[in-house]
Amino acid sequence: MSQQLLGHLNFLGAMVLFAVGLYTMLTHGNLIKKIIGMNIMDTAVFLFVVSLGYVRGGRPPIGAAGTAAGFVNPLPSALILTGIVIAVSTTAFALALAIKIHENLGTLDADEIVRRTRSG
Amino acid sequence: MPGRIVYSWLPAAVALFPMACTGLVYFAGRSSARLRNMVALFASAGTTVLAAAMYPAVSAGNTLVTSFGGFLPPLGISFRVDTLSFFLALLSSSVWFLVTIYSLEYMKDEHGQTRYYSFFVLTLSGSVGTFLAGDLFTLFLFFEFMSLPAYVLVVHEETPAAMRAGLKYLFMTIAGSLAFFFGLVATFELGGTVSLDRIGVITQSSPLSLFTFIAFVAAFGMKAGMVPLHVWLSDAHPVAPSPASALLSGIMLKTGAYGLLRVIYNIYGVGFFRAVGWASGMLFAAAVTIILGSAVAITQMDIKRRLAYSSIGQMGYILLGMSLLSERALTGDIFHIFAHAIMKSCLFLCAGAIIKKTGKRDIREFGGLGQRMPVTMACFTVAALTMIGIPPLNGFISKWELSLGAFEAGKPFYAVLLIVSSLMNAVYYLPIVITAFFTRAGDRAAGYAAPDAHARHVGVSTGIVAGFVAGDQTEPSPAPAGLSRLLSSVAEAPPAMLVPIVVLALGCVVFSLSPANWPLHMSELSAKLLLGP
Amino acid sequence: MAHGPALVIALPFLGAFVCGWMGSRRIGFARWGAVGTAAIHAFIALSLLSRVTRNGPLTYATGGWPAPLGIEVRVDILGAVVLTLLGCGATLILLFAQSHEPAELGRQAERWYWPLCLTLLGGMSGLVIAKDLFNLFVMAEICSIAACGIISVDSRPAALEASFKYLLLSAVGSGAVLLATAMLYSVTGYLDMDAISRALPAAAASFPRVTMGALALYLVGFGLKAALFPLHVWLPDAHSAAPSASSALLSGLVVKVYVVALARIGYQVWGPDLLWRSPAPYVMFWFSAGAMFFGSIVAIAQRDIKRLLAYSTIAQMGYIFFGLSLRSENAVAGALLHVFNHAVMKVCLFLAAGAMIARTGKRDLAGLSGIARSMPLTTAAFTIGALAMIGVPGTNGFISKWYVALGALDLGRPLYAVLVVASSLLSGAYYLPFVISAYFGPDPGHPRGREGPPAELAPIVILAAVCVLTGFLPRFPLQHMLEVAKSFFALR
Repeated sequence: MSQQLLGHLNFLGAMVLFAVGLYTMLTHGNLIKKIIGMNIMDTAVFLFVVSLGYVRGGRPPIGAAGTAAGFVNPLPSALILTGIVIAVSTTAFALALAIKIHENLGTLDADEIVRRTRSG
Repeated sequence: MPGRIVYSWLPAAVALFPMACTGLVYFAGRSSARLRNMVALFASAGTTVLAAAMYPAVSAGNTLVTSFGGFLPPLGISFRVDTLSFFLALLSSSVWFLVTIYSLEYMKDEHGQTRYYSFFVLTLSGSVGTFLAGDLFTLFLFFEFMSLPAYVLVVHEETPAAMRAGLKYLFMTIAGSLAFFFGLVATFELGGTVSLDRIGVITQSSPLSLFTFIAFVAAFGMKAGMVPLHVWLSDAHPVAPSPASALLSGIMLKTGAYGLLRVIYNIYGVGFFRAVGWASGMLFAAAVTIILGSAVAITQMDIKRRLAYSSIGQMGYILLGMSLLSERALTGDIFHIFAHAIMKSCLFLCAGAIIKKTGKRDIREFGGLGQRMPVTMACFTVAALTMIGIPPLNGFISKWELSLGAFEAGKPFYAVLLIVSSLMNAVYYLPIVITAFFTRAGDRAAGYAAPDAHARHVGVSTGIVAGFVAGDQTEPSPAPAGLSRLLSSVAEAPPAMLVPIVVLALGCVVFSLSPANWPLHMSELSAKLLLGP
Repeated sequence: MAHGPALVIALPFLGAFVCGWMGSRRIGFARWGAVGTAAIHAFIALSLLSRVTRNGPLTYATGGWPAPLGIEVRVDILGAVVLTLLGCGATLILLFAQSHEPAELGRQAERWYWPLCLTLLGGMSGLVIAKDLFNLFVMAEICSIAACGIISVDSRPAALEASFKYLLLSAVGSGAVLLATAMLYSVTGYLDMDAISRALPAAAASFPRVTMGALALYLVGFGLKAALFPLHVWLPDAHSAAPSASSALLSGLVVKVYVVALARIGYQVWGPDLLWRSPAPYVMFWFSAGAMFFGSIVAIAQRDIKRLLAYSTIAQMGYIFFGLSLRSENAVAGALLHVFNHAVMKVCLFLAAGAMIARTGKRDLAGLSGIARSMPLTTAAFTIGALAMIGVPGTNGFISKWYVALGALDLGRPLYAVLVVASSLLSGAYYLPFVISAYFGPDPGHPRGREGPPAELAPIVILAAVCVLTGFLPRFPLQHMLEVAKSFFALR
């Protein structure tokens, strides 16, 4: 059992982080905290994907043709680069929205925002 | 029945001609009212002529067929005209023509006439198409083309009452059409086709086929005013303009009955029905419809509401006739579709003339109408007597056939029911006639009571007093002389309204008096066809 | 046209860049550049459609690297039809927006509006033709961000709030999709859909929980983005707070591409056999049945026309998912057809509503009563759209309803067909009262005889005409969708 758990440690860690992120995002009223939650969630996924490519004792995948064995799988890392770019831009956009909301409504609290948009 | 299948463009032309004219009516209405009226008249006349043109082929026992494939890959639009389809299409287009003539006068000063005539012609297309459809899908399509535009006719007056009735109508219609939709899909699933060219598409009795039948009954029963799905009818028919009421009650109710006929006799087949015994449920519903419709009609004092409830009762006869599953009853049934279409249109047109001329809708105020509008009231009387079923008028023939059919089917109870309901018809039609002819204007409550001598005496005396008062109010010159008022009081509806009324009233009489009763003959042929070999 | 598949993605992005660049100097260029780009996109999509129907699916390897290593896009029939829908829909919406958005948005916001619309179009196009799951994710992200952008572009507080909510929830969705993609990659070693599809049966046998989890995450992720009940919470605010043209884009087109993505994953990656061994379709069935009723019932209570349309979208999306969750070719074909049909009618309705709001300044249903007298054509188009929603025969809504109901009966479940029918009745319950009051209701003094300018009116009328045309001659989308459904079920 513990062996199995350890074997999937990366998976479990990702799940825990994902849950933490989701929880933060859905329960916190503050928009900035929501954005942080979103980032934690994304990071969880990135960690998981990158860990998939890891080969114990593997070398960086730089080498001549024909020596395929023993390399770390480069594809997940490449993908996650894209993923990080997307996450960053989403974060940037979300922050920009948060700033606009603060400019317009003077608050970053979700409930307060709802109250102010409904009334005004 | 010997007969060939003949491919012909005529059925499609009959169904689509008015639809094509709808646009013409609309655009004509934008330039000139006269032109628009002529186009509307032309549309219904043309449809009648085209429908009549199918007679030679149909009378030779042939079946006319048109089809356009590929609407929805397994389905297509198709028309198929046998005796029954032809008969009802001709009936509806000719009644439509007469009602159009009537409308020209009746609607003269109304608002939104272009809208009225456009939808008037569109519903003609829908109802004729329903009768001529060669498969259930086409029938569905035209059924919708009739029902939805009819909404506009119902709410034409745009009064709050009309809007409320219209909303009810619209929702019942949509609920009905969804039930129809379900039945249609289920039929396709069970039988692999929805064509009406055979007897017995669904041949297996299963929960789904029963469910399908219930869906069809709900859809068509709703249209035909079957209790308990009649609730829209008694609101919608009275609020519509009278010519539209005439069509709603006279023709459009019949599309529901026609749909059920096709479902029972073509989709399932009479053999199937005898085997499964679902007809007993229909019979029960029909009996309730007859009694309830007539009973409520007695309590109604608004002429159009009374006529509307009477329609419900009469539709009960038609539902009864088709569920007795005997040839005699079916003949009577189809003949009653014809007879009721004629007489109910006539009655509604008369009611319209009365309302237009006097502004009175309450039956208790009809005193003196017999003097004031003798022709209209005479026609009303003829149609009312037909409704009651006095021999030898149309109504008698259908009831006679239906009663014989009930005996033939071994269900004499229903013959008794028919007699009881005739009595009820008498109870709610005769007082109108008596009030109109035997009491005087303004003779309100008394004239409505039982016409025994005492009451009439009281009635006449109060009537004279009331007449003076009313005379002062209604007539411009205050000349209170009873006799001269009587003489000068003939104020008939204009000829354009009177002619259709008279023609329809004659229709109640002529066929039944002539030795070769052509409609009855057509009904017999249709019944034979529906029952199959 | 050999590079057509790449062009439909690249062109809108390029257009977005150019419009954004030129728009800062000459706004007119950005406006017409956007419409022009969308029109060219539509043209390419149409030519792709004709090629695909003649020669079969078109695979395009970017940079000439073939599948397992390189990135491929594939235009199959489903993709081609949806691309055509996107191109033509976007052209009409942007044409409508020409006369509409400058006034609604103001100069500053408008500069960003046109590039964002084109970005959205590019993202959607990429999403429907992506052949590997990672690209699917990337394109979905582009769509999400661009969609949030066109909601909040004019910085009204309500729009900002709606946009933020949408952004966060769709980030959850994206997270789920990415995680699911990673899980699939971990058990199969591929990202290419075909390759995964081949490897999946073995993987599902050895790692049942991982594959099941991935499917569930896809359902949640794309379900969130496509507003599948009960994950729809963001939609009513987002679609009603957005500018009118954006609402049409979002409600008509954007939610549809996620459905297409989900359908691809369900039917082309998992395949019917494997799919129905998992609980996913059953879960989807109940959610969608809930959506049909929840959406409609809440819509009845709405007083704001755009919120009404938004809730109607939830109900109709439920209807599409309902068809997809039935294991029957007819039902799936009906659902895919409804993707097309609902797009046409909802865009028509939103544009008509937008025109009415622009002309009268009122959004509440009561305030729009009697509008038919001043805007007869717009109201007529709205009526046709509403009738199509109910599924009156002679409109395209009827055809999709027919196939979904037929599919339900194929399965021997008449009760499901009754559900479909009942939900149509419910949509009557909120569309018809408005239509009636538009024609017969009291006129509170709308400006007389004021239809919109031709550029505004033409898209509305064209879309209404398409509703009726494809109702009478349903061959075009229908045959393709039947073929697609057939190919879905032919897999294993």
